[in-house]
Amino acid sequence: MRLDVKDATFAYKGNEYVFEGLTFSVREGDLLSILGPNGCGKTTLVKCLCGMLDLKEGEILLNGKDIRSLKTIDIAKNIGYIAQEHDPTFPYTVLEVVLMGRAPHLGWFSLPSEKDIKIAEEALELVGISHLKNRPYTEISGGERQLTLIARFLAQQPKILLMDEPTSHLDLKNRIFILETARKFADDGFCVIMTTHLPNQALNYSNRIILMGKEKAIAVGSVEEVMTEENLSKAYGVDIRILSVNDQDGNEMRLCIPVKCGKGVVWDDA
Amino acid sequence: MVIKIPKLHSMIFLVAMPLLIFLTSLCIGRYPIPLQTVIAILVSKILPTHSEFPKIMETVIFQVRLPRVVAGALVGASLALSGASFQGLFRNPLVSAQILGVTSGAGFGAAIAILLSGEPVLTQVSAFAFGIIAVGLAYLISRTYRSPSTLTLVLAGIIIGALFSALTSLVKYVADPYERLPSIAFWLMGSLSMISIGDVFWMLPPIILGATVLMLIRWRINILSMGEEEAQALGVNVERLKLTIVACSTLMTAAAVSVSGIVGWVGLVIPHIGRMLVGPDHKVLLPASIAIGSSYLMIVDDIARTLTVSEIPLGILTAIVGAPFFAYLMRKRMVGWR
Amino acid sequence: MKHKTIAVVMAIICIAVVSSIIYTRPWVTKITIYSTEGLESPLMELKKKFESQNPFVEVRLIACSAQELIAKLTAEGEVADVVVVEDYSLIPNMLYKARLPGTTEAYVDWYAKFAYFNETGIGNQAICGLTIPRNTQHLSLAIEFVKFVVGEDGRSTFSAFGSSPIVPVQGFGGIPDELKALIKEMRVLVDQAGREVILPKQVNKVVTLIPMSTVIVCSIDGKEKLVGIDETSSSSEFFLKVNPELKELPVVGTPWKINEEELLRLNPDVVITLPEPAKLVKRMEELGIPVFCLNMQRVECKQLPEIIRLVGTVIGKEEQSLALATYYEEKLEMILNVTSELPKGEKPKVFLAIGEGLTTHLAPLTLSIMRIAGMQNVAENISWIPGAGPPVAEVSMEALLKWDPSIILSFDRYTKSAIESDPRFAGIDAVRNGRIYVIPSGCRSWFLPEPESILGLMWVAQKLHPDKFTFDLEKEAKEFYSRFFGYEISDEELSKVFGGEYKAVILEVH
Repeated sequence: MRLDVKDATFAYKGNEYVFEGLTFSVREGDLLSILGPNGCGKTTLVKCLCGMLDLKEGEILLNGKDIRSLKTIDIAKNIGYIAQEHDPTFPYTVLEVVLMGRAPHLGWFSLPSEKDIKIAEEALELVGISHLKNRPYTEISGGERQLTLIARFLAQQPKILLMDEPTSHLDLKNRIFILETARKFADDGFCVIMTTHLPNQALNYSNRIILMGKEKAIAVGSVEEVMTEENLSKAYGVDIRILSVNDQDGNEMRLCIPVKCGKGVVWDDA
Repeated sequence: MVIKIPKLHSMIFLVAMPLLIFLTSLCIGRYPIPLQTVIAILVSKILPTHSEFPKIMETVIFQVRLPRVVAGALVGASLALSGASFQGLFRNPLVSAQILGVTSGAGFGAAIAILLSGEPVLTQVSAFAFGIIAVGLAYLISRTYRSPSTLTLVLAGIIIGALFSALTSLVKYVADPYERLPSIAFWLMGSLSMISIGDVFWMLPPIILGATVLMLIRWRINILSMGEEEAQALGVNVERLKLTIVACSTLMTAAAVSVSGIVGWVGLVIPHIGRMLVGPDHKVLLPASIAIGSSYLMIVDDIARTLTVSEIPLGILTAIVGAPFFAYLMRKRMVGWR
Repeated sequence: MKHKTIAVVMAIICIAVVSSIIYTRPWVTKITIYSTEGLESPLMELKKKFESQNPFVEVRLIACSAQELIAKLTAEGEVADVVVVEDYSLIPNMLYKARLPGTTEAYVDWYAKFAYFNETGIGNQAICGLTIPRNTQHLSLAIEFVKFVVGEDGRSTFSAFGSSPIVPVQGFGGIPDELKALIKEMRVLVDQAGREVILPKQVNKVVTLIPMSTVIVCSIDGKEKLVGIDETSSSSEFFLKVNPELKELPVVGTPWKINEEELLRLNPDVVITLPEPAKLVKRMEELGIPVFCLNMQRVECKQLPEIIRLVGTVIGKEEQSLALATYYEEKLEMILNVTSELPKGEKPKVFLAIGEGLTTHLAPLTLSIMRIAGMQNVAENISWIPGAGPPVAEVSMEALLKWDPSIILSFDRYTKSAIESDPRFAGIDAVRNGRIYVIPSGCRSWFLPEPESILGLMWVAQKLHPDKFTFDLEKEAKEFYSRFFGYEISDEELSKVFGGEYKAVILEVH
């Protein structure tokens, strides 16, 4: 199972290109971060990847087939998408929300069966929020909501997970939990693609990175290839240094820090 | 806060309540018929008995009350069902099926038919046709936008609704004040009086068709109500589902309105009561809306036709009962949405 | 030998006589029933039952096609005692025209509709009719047979063959007295919408939905027949004074809406209403209630007597309605004779004001009164405000000042005081000279299409041309109420009527 992007170019109107000539591939086990400052087109790229927006030029192949030729339901069987903004109107229970993940596997006129409900309940187990089964989705915390959506992804059973800014609005503990879960998925054979505007997140939680900046994509490749001080500074338009720090056990940790007027400015994030 | 009823109780409630109210409504009316006689007359139609009843009582039950109560149930169910579906579709608990202009269109259709001929069958057909035309126009207009979305559909619906309302006023303006105008005004106020069995038969096909399809796809409305992008990501063909919901709801509402005139509040308030009782899951909400909607309208119509000799228009009664009840719900925050 | 011959001859004669007696069976009466083919089977059954119940009667049943039946009875001179046909209309359409052989007398002069018969394969329901020709030799037996057909035996036999009985049996024309108990006498009238209305000959229960028709019914001595009235009548003060019985009557509705169950409960013989909305009329027909339509919306003075006579015919008060109509026409003519001779200069300019003073009423009857009474209605040619209900029109203050009417009429005291207290009207001739008159109002306003409108006409004609009309209006009014409403109006009440103090209710259209 793989996703190939060849020469992807996208513009909203006229010649305002969001990205141009983008080429990369991901397959199972990859944890790809799409990194860049706000407004550089990360969400746009993600939406193209799951077929919601059409490329101006280039193609996206899902398991070798052009994504434009696939039906929405077939895409949904392979790709799970968790959006950044989520504003539910009605207080469905957590279980009902997770059950919605079964949609790609049900016909137009079918209702979820016992089997589907079981799959949903198992997904809740896996993510560890079974106790929230009957709570209204609108009354749980942001982190719990994110976990619900992840459980829904599991119920949906696709192989590729697209997450748009999954850690925004979350506190520190939940952020780490989400990121660890993402890494675990990748280790379990899923392909995970996350967007973030936080370099440290990308630095420590990916094996591949697409770095996007104020003007189109700048670099695509492995972490080592892409995460250079030069690339980062160009992308963010601010001077950025990468520091290595040793923790008490002697493990090396790396940090990205913006520098202004020579004095370090500390970012308040992970 | 949502009160959830256990499933078995729900089933009994959904089926028994409308049935009970239906039978009770047949026994109520200004023509005095003792309860035993009503039951005997009803039974005599199913089982062969040798009793003979005064023809006038049979007329009252089968020609006056039966069509009226059946129509009330169908209209209430249709309006509630389409209201609930639209609230899910537009992710807005403050809409009813009227938002796309179907009732304004139907009102115009009836007005112009009464103006030009006054023949009752034509009026009904015209109301139905124009109700559908109005929504069709709204849909077409929304497609001309570069990036059509649900919001553009609603805007187009409001425009079309306003257009047809204005046209209806124009019709009233030129109508003969002695003959046509009172008929038009009376039709617009909403009433189930003078309904015959023929009218009811006519209503059945569009309502049954629309209701059946909506009931079959009701679980998918849940997904659509989470957001169009989200729904698409879950593999739902959003455009097709939207079109189906709009088409079915419009079909049902146009059929209902063409028979009963314009009856407000049912499509708006009943789904909320449903959500209060069974939650927002459309899998149970839609059946609940059918049950509650039909019961509600049967009860309101019973009041309308028996309270005073002079019939109270249906549209007025539903508003009088609906508005304070709605205010009460809002105060108690017992609404089924955030 | 001679004795033997005589004996033989006597024996032969005896045998001949006995044989002929046995053959002719004079103690057996034979009646002949002619019928159309479709009814042969049920009538055969009935024939057997009848014969078994009446041992000295033999029934000869001749069934043939409709054309043959008519030919045999009218052209070929065959005699029938009872005629039974699948399509009743054969009788009034064909047999009525026929004459008894050799005379100019009608062959039949009545018929009864007694059952619906389903013609197999066509799906149309035929209404079966029967009659007894006037040249029958066995009238009482024929009557017995007819009683049999429309009675229980007949009903059940016909039902077994797929027909449904008409209950009660409807009879039209000169029905024999003995049958009147079983056959309800009906008649056919044509109403003002051109509909054929089948009403009982004797109408005893009337419902009126039009306020004006309620007044008419009361003015022709018909109020005991009312069982249900319209909404507006139940709130007219003076009307209820004159007819206090009306207070007890249930209100059934208006020409635009009725309470169906209430109407069925009252089970009236006829409902008087407007021809529109058609749906209402159709619905009442569906429920089996006869509806008689009057075109009262556009009626003018000259047409009112006709309507009064029509109502009289419907409710069976022909004499009284004729008296009222004649009175109306006489007074109308009296006034017209004078005013039609008047030159334009002698016709004062008049404005009819309602509301705050700048609105006028343009109903056909109001306009016709004003025309007949010999005045120039300054606002006559204005187009009315559409969609506002009964035709009313707004005039501008400037137009009114320009017209400068010398008389202003108003429907109630409110308008009069509004005009008097508003300084903008002060310059108008009528206001300066204090000639603002409130139209009198009794059972209804005297300018509405109902019987009092003749008093209204007389009143305004006298106001305009006092020198030409010298009758004592108060005396006339008292006589009017006494004669046509049976009410002795007191002086106090009369002055209230003239002062317009009784609420004048104009039919509100919902």
